[in-house]
Amino acid sequence: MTDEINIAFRTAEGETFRVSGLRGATVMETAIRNDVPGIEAECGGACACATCHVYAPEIVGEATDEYEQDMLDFTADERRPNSRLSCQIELEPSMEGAVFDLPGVQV
Amino acid sequence: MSGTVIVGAGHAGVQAAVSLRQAGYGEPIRLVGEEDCPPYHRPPLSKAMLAGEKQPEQIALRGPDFFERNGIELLLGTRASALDPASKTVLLEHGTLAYDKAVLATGAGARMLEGFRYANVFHLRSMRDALALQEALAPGARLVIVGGGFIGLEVAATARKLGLSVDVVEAEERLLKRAAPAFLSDYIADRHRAGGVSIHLGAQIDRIAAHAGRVASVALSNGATLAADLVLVGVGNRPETGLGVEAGAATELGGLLVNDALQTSLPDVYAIGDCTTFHLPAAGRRVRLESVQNAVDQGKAVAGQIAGAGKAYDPVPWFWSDQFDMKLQMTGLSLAGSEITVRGDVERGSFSLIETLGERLVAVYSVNAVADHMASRRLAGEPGRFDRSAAADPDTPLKACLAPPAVRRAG
Repeated sequence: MTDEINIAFRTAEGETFRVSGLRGATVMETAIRNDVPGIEAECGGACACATCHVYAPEIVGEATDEYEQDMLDFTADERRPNSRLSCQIELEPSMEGAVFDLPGVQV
Repeated sequence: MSGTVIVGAGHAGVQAAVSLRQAGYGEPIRLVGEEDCPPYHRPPLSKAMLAGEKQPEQIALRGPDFFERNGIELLLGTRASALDPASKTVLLEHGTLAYDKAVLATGAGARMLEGFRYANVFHLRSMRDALALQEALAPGARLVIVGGGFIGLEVAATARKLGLSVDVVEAEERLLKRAAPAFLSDYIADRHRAGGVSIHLGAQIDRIAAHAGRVASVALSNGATLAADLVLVGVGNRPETGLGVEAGAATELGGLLVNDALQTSLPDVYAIGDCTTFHLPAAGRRVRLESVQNAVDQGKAVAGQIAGAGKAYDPVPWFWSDQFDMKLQMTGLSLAGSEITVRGDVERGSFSLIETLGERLVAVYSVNAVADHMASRRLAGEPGRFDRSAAADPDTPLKACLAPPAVRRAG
């Protein structure tokens, strides 16, 4: 089993960025490392700023952490049922091929 | 065109460079950083990275190719030794950079204490500091932390998690005296004690007993003696203003004084981040803030000034700190004569302290109460009359406690 997991980000304008990240890295870190636009991540993954908002595919699941749930009420763009903070999602092999949609604004 | 030279590649400097490009600035950008490693997030140095949960490359501010791809020339391991506003140049050890606009984003360095020059005394400000401290944090070792501020307390919590014994020595009679109301200081001290940290308040270091160039124990003014395998000094920071000051820039409160366009007193020289002092309208005074928020917001603002779409810098200050299971988040700056209202469940460890002055919302200090924190960041800049008695009820959203000014809405 490889530790590299391939995922993609789709911007609000419809542009797709295919990237790969290591198992255990967060989706936010993977976006930043690969210069994916549309993820601000001002707090660097401390779950303190709500600027790494993504719309996650079903395989990732909804936010279960109460803290993340509360933060999601304050994203700059619309909160949907599949809204997540990408700093709270760690890459797992099951996410191979997952596509994350980016909101139009983060701040 | 010589473009913009940014001295300092921390949160502020990097943000300025990024925002300049986002604003369509087409001139050269040179970003000069003294440290060897690529620009990184500083907050994890005392938390996730110190604990070994994150590797240095995981806390990079941008990916490895970002700067080149965006036409930002990143000069790492490069020290700027002088700035000459007359010839509009920044002098490096090897070479000179000409500029149209210069941005000083030189940050702040850890304040040192006299008499603490020993091999097992650490500070924590840079990646290098963090890696050195991390190596010394061996389970079972005895760590004495001088200073009960954010750095000291975050390291205390991390070190307990790693299995060290920890003493925190604070000269004031409570922790975080400049940053937190007394109620919060006491709450945080209790949480640290419950986590196994020994807290010594109102205590000074009287004497250091050293052996073979290493601190062996410290004697406190209250008579206690603390054995130490290592010591962390976390007694605040000293803004790095040398470049600006030697070129003649005005200072106040130890920082480079900037106006609301982030200009120093030198022509075409701006300053941003921890090294600046500026007038904060909400506080009605000049302040120097050491925070990611201020670094990032000033970075964005200075890019607006240089790229020609600038507006006056008037931020809502906010700050966070993670210690044990406490997510501390703060909005605003304390004002003299204000009152504190407790909101939420202190017993369960989820509450906010609402600071008001008359009908004005001044600051909100949240412990595991993120909805309050995020709401407070939106409310802090809003005009209106804030009802503190309504805010005491945690079921009333903070937003509903602020009545709009002048015109009252019916219904």
